[in-house]
Amino acid sequence: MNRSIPIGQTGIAVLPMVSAIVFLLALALVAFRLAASINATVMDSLDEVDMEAMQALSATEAIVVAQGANAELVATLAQVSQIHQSALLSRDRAAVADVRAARARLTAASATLATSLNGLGEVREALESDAETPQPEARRLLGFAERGAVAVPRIVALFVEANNRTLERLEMGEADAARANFLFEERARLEAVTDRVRRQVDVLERLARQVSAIEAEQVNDIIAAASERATVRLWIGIAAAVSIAAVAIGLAILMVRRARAARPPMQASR
Amino acid sequence: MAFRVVWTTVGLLIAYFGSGLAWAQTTPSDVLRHVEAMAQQVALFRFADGLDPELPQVPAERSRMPRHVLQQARIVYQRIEMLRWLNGLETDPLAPVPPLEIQPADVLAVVEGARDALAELAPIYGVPAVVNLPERRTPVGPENVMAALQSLSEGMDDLGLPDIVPNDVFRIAHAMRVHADGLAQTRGVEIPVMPDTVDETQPADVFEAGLVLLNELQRFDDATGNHLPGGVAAVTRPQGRVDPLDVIRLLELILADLYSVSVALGDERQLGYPAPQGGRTPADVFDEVIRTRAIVAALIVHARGPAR
Repeated sequence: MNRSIPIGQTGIAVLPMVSAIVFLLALALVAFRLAASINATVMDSLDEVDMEAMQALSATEAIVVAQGANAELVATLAQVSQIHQSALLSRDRAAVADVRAARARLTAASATLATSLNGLGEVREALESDAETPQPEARRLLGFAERGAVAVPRIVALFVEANNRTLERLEMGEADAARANFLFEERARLEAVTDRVRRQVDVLERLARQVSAIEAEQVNDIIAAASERATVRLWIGIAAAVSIAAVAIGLAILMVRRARAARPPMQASR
Repeated sequence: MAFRVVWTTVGLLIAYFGSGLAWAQTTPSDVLRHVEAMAQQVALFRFADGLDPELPQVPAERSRMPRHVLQQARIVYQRIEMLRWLNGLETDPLAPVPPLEIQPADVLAVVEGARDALAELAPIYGVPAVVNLPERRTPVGPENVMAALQSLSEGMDDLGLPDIVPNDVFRIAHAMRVHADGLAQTRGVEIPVMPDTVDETQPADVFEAGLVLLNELQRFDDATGNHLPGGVAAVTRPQGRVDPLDVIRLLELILADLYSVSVALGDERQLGYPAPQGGRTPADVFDEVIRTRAIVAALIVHARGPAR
């Protein structure tokens, strides 16, 4: 006995059922896409955080390099000053060569500092990456530091000229004239270099702090935005899942009812 | 054709006399507006450098003439040129001082040049150039412009300019002595020979010598019968330590007065400044001041004629 019941005979319409299945499949597809999207959002955010971290690292690295070059300049400046003043006090002509050697290191250090200050473009990029937040204080600090790339070697050059005149007098045995030149010309030039370098140290420290704070804030913003996007998509996904379940349950109930309604009434047993 | 020539000639005459009139009508108030605009610009630079944008206040104490203000304007121009050089910009030397009694328009010409030179630094500092002039203030005398220029100069010092040193002062002292030399030669006065100072001299000594020279200059002006407009500059001794900045300000005043006297006496030489100096000490400046004093003393004797 064939107990199977052809669909046409069950009384269930083919079209609504196919539509429901298609709807279920569509919902399932949406849910799948949302899950994939949440994953992509998280991955994108991680990439963005990674990029920000790389940018922050480059910016911080540029500042650290400049700070190192500045420290080198401070050290060589102290060295020149010490050797030079000692030579002036002792009226030692032989020490002139030592002063010149130390001075050559100072000039080299100022050139290295200029190169490192020119490399602060990474910091500018980091600051400009968030166009909505102009960061005026950090930009001011950066502007001062970048101007130093031209100004510091020139201020050092003025000092070197004055220092040379003092040394020439010392070499000629004119110790009093050398001392006078140091007091009335060279010292003012030396103070100009010292003052600039001291301010440069302060500015670079403040800039490093500002860049770290700005980058941390930007990473937090990215994570917060990603989290918000993921949450929204999660809720949409939940809604889709609930819809799928509801439609599937509804469809099942409908099919069972129709199947019962279509079954012929049971005959009395023999 | 003839009609066009007539109209062109009339137009040119109007333009010529019109501009001449405007030139003659320049007042200290006009100059001050430009100086105040420059002060606003320097305030922006100071802010960009993380400094207090407020410029130091300099009171207008003593009466001044446009010739004194011109010298201060020239110092400001040179400080701006130094700032330009420190920031990698090109520099232009100043035009010589014209052999005339200086008018506010002459000061304005230097101040306008200084303002243009300053404005070109604005992009380097990442700030806007100050374009508009502030409201005209009255009453304004040359002493107010002088004080505003001194305030501006001090305000720029913090931007990394090296302090004024005896090299800078020597340029003024040397210009003064050379001009006095020339005046003596044109009047047939023998220039006295003075030995160099060998001992250590301080800026305070130069300042005192400068004050004496200023008095000598007044006596020379009286002896020639020329009446220097406004008389020689009245100067107040600075409180505390005298530094090269005080000395250069005094010598600029003396130079302005000496030049004005020489122009009044028919000397048509332009005021010349030596090239930037190196290795000069207060003793070198002192020597120049002492030599100028000796020349002026000889000029006084000559102007008074042979003793009866």
